[in-house]
Amino acid sequence: MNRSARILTAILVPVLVIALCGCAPEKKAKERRIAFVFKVDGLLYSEVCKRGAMQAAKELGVRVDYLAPDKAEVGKQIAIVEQLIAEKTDAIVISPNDADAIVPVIRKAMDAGVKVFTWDSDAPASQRIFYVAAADDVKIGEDIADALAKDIGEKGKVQIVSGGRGAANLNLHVQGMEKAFAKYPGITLVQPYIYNDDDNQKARTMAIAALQKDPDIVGFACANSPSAPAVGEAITSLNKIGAVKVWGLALPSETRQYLKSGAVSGLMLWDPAKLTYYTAKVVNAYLDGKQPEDGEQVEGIGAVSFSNGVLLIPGVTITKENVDEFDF
Amino acid sequence: MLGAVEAQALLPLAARRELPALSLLVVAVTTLLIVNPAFRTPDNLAVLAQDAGILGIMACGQALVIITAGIDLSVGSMLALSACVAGSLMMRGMPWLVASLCGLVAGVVAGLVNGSLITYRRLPPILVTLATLLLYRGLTNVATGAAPYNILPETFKMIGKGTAPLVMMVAVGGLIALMVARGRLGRHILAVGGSPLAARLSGVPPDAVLRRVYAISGLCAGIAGLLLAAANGNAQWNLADGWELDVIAATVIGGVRLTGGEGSILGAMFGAMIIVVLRNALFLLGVPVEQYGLVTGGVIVLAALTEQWRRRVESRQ
Repeated sequence: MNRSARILTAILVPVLVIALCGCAPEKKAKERRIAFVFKVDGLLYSEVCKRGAMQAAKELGVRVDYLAPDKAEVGKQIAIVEQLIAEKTDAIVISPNDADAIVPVIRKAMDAGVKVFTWDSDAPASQRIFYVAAADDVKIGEDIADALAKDIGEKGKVQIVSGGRGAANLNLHVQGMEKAFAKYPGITLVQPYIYNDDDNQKARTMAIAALQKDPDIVGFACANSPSAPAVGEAITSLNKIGAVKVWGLALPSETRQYLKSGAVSGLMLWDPAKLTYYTAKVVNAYLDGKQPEDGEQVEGIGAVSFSNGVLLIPGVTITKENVDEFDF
Repeated sequence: MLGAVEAQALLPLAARRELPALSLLVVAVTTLLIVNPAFRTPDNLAVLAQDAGILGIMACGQALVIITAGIDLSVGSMLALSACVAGSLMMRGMPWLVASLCGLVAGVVAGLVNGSLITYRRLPPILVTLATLLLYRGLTNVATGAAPYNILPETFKMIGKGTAPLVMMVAVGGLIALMVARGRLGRHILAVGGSPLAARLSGVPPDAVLRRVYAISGLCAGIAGLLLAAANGNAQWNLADGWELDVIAATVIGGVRLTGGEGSILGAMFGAMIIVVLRNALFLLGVPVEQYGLVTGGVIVLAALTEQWRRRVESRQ
């Protein structure tokens, strides 16, 4: 929406509301409206999110809107939320661009009776009712490690691969991996870990060099997204498919061929469509007076966990069997 | 065929400027071959050849630019642009040779744009190529939607495998070195780098020379882009992000003078090999990644000091 359209809406909406109140017969029941506020418009990720929300809207028979600023700026999100308060939206679900700067407008919305939730990104200091997210960074690392451990028969040398040495979320993945691998006495971690700066070429050549340094490496646990396909390519060029297993976190579109050939065993990911679909459903249920439950089994998603206002859905495992279901 | 003629043309140069880099390379490689079994495995040597070839080709183009007292920061971005143009066309079914050619054209055009911006109103090369570093990378990101082009023909992928990139570097570097030593453009490049004013007075058109030099740098980045996409089996917008520093370091280690006027293509290739060999050695020896910079930085300082000392000795003679 461009600026003039927005101004026009801002003028017209109140005028229409007044006009309707004056002459229209009383509406039977106002249609429930849930508005999702994205970080920014135009990303493949947001498009996939929208699909999930759309599906939930159809199933629930409520109105679901998707609003996104043209730039990933919190100021533009605040303007959108102000507008939604004026429109007396039932619920706002937001992925804030700034966890702190969004706090006042969330308070304003809650005070005005609009229920506010966060999803995808949280604002922990705000009054939001709860936060819905995919499994956290440490848990994803644990899942990758557990899957790889199972794949290699719980024994042998494993190389952990990451991107930037200082990337906070990657370090959390690595932390999760270390925690999980510690459960398997048969597994030793090769030191030092590989840090490839998220560079495809370095990811590939460092994996090859690692296998020269330690020819008995049987598995790679990849914490950053360029690594799984790049290590898969390395394994392919060394004719070690099957002898060395690779698990990681990467986009299915970048890894499909290596999953198909067996060079990469699997990926741990969350499906943004499912995350948003579930968020719309659970927010709608809350508006009906139903609180989320810890440990509840949700069809097509698995067991969710709920504590301290944070609702987590488990990640999905992507292998050669189901990779074609994912189009991102 | 790189026969006796070229060897003769290069030999007097090699005896001076490239000597420190060559000695370091020979000592490092020999030592590693003896002490580190992982270093001498065929797979590791193949990776070294691949990496050194790709970096070396970019360093050849960069050396030419630096000899003209310029700099090209946009090489990594031009590499990704070329690779993505070629990769996207291949994925649309274009024969790989034609698609590769289109990728190279993209590199040359990107280089020409650099050269034109630099010669137009004499904008500083560091400013222009800093801008196009961001521009070309952004353009490639937006145009491809960050999508990977990773279903590439097997015959195309062969050009990036094993020692092919190193062979390509020798061919490209040899041609450029021959041009510098024997060709008219080579003489003009040295003249422009030495003194643009003197060059113009003696009838060398500096702007035309500069445009060609930046176009050659774009072409080199393009060739490297094709090899890198083939080696990775994937062309994507973020290829070679940040590699411009490695490329410039390679030329400096190879004895190219950053202020222009002097330098050697052969030295730039040695410099690229040194960077690749050192990084591989550090990895194989289990040195934590935080310490890599200490070694590469140290080598650059060493190269600068050696070059200064060499010049002092030379001027005394």
